[in-house]
Amino acid sequence: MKGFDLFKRASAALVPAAAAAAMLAGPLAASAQPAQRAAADTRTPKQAAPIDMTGNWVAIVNEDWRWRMVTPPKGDFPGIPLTQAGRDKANAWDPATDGSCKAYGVGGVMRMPTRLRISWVGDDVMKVETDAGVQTRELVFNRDAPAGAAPTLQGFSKAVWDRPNLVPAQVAGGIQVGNAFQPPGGSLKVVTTHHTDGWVRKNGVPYSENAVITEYYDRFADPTGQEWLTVLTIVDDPVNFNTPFLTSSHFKKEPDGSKWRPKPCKP
Amino acid sequence: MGVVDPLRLVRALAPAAAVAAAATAALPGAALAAVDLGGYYAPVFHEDQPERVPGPDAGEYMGLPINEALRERAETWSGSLLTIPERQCVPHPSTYGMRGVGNLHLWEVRDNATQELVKYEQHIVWEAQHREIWMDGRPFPPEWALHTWQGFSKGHWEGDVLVVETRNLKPGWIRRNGLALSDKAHMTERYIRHGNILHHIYMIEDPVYLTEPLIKTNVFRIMDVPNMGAYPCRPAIEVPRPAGSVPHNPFHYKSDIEEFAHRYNLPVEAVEGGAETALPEYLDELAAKKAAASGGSSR
Amino acid sequence: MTRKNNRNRCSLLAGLGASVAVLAFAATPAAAQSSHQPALQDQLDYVAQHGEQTGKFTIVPLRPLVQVRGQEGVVTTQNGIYVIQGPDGNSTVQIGPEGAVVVDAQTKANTPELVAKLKGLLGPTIIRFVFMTNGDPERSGGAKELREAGKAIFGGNMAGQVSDLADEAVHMSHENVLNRLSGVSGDPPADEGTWPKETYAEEEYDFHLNDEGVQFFHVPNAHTDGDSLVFFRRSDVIVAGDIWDTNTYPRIDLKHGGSINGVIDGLNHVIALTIPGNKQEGGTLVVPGRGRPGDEAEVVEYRDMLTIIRDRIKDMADKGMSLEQIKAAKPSYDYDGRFGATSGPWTTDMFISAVYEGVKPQRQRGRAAR
Repeated sequence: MKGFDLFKRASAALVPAAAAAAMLAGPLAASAQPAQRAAADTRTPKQAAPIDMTGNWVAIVNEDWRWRMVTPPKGDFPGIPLTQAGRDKANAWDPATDGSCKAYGVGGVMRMPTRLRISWVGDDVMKVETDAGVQTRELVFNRDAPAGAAPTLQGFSKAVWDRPNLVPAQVAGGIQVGNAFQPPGGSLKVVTTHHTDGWVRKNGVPYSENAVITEYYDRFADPTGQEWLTVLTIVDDPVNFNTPFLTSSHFKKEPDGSKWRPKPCKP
Repeated sequence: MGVVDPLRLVRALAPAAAVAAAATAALPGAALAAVDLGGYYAPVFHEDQPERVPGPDAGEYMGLPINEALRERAETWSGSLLTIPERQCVPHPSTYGMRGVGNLHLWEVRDNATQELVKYEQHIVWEAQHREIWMDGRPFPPEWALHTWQGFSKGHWEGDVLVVETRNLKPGWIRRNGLALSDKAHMTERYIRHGNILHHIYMIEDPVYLTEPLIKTNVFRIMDVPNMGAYPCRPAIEVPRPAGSVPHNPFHYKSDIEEFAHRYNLPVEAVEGGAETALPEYLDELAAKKAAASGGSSR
Repeated sequence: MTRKNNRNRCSLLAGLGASVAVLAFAATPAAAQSSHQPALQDQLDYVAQHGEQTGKFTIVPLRPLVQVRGQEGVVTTQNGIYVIQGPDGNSTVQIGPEGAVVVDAQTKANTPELVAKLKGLLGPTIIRFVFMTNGDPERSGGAKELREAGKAIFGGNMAGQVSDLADEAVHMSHENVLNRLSGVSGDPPADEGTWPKETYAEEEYDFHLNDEGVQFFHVPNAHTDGDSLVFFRRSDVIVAGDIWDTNTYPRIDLKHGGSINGVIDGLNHVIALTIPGNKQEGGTLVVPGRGRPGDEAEVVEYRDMLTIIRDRIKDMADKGMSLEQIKAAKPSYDYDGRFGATSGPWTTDMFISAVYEGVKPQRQRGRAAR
């Protein structure tokens, strides 16, 4: 009797039905569910692409302009979280090596004033070409770097589609009233290793061969309908940087490759 | 005796709960996001640190899609303007705030009854820039409504990307060296969370001063230990001047641009900015143009 | 299970069912209040309640009427200040328990519609006081129609004996407005209905109505020589008149004593009166002659712009450049995209000319512009 009297008082206080049921339902509430993943996707990476990165893109250089469009003087690297070792190497840079392909390695090439040409090679490799430095990167899905592979300037880039978390089923009052669903969209996440050392800036700011370079590619349209591609680059290199070095570059879609102007770098 | 079986009560309540849930689901802007952007973030200044922290040089306009009118306005601008009392406590407008200094706190505000996301609130420490990003589908205010530094912002989800549109802005700026924006500017932002990184992209349109949308991207890192502080401000007369004085440079003042170009060994034309200066081929084409003109100025 | 338990179970379910109804009703998203921009929030609440009224006349609430319950349960009405944007510019109205103060009419043709709009807004409140910030037809043309729509507070010994004074609202302006409209200053006399029936000639005039002080400040030789600011002190609203226009450069009526220096001085006077809220936002609100209202920061922006343009033109004039040469140099082009015009009643060209007249060296000044 005592227990039921307590319920009477609760109802008399007009506890909302959902809250009351939730109190009673307890474990039926979904609020503490961890993020879920959709069932296994059998489509190829090309088929499953949530964003279309293919086409011709041009860098819009309105950030770090005087460190990207021209080679800055030796020792000019404000804001870069260099360790003392990284600072020493940067200060030892020889300006006679300006134009070296080291600046066009995976850690720095996306920061260059460049055009990109992005296409699929088969269903599980995305090719990214740059006219600045005439470089080619392969973003590889569903495979790891071959064992014993020699490091290269562009390294081995493992790609995966990074989709939004599954939205859990809607629950009200402990009762499921909607289904879980996968929101649209997503990014491309690329992690690159097995690369040689290089420069994040044209004036010799270094990254080592042990750096792990993570990128996130996002695509969207601006209010005028113009398509954009942004690349968030994270260079994690404890040898040269005391925190991961973060940059974000943006590219505008072009209708064709008519403005492609290859400019080789110096090997 | 008299003890209610909870499971029977739940089954009895199911129709009522379904009504409530249906009512909730039918509401405009029911924000079913796959990610919570809330948190305390520190801005990362690995890009454009001199411009964003100590401040840009006067005359530094490379890469920006500014028109001739904005160039003149910026050349007229004097840093001394910031010393007049009416300018001292002005916060960064939302068109610049995410570029500037100050830790960021972003948090959800939900309706108590429905748990629907009503708005995000955002606070940046420097000059206490406080914004509300309405997520409940309410309309933009009329053009005659008061314009504010942060403007009126509405957000919606595109997947797990928060897209925010802002209008009703006061005249603001895109850089702290006189590159102004008019009160006709609009802004569209994208907030994207990648792990512990907040990737912020904004696009600004201004029919008065920009030849095309300006895109900028900023990066924030989640803070392990929140660190937000107050930022009170009260103006003070630091530089005595006659009442109504407005410090400014003379008409067609080129000294700042020329000094900057000289200091960094850059072409003056590049320093003057304009959309073309952001393109990879710009400097080559400028050099070619100059060579064709036998070394004369192309402007 | 006993009958008593059945009744208790039914009571519980009924109670919870009622809760569902409450929940569904309450499920519309809460109008979560903005605590950081109260003046803007007032406007948004007004729009949410009344809708945006567009068209020939738009009601812009600056301080919408609120009822405040005091400690003793007494309800008082805080004065409301509204701007009515019309085809001839802004009219401003203060509404309170003693009646309404209206600042600026429209032209004679448009004022009847303004009056109709006002009556819709005022309800039973009577227009007591009509004030014109200058003598332009857009401000004074409909003065007669406006004051006849109201009624002064009149009584005491003269009650019932001076009927004409009690049959309409008080109508007041600066003395120079009367001089202009009555022909004393040389213009052909305007319709007598536009003449203010009371004037002030000092720097400032004040009175008290609706529980707040109202001040008029003369702004000499600005848009004209008869301009006034109106300051509703407790409502913290300044009507700036035609020295501030959020659509165009200020109209400077040289023929009637206007000058760029007077406009800038007037704006500086406004800035001296305004007290902004936190972080230079809100606080004292300012009503322009045309365009949307704003706060101190936007008046400062406008003042700065005019000061810079004036200084440029003065500098060129001091160097001996002619007006045509100055115009060719485009001294305002960095602001023309926002405030300039190449056609219409007030163009950039006319503005430059007017500024030039106010700053050209003495040796170039022939006869006075009037």
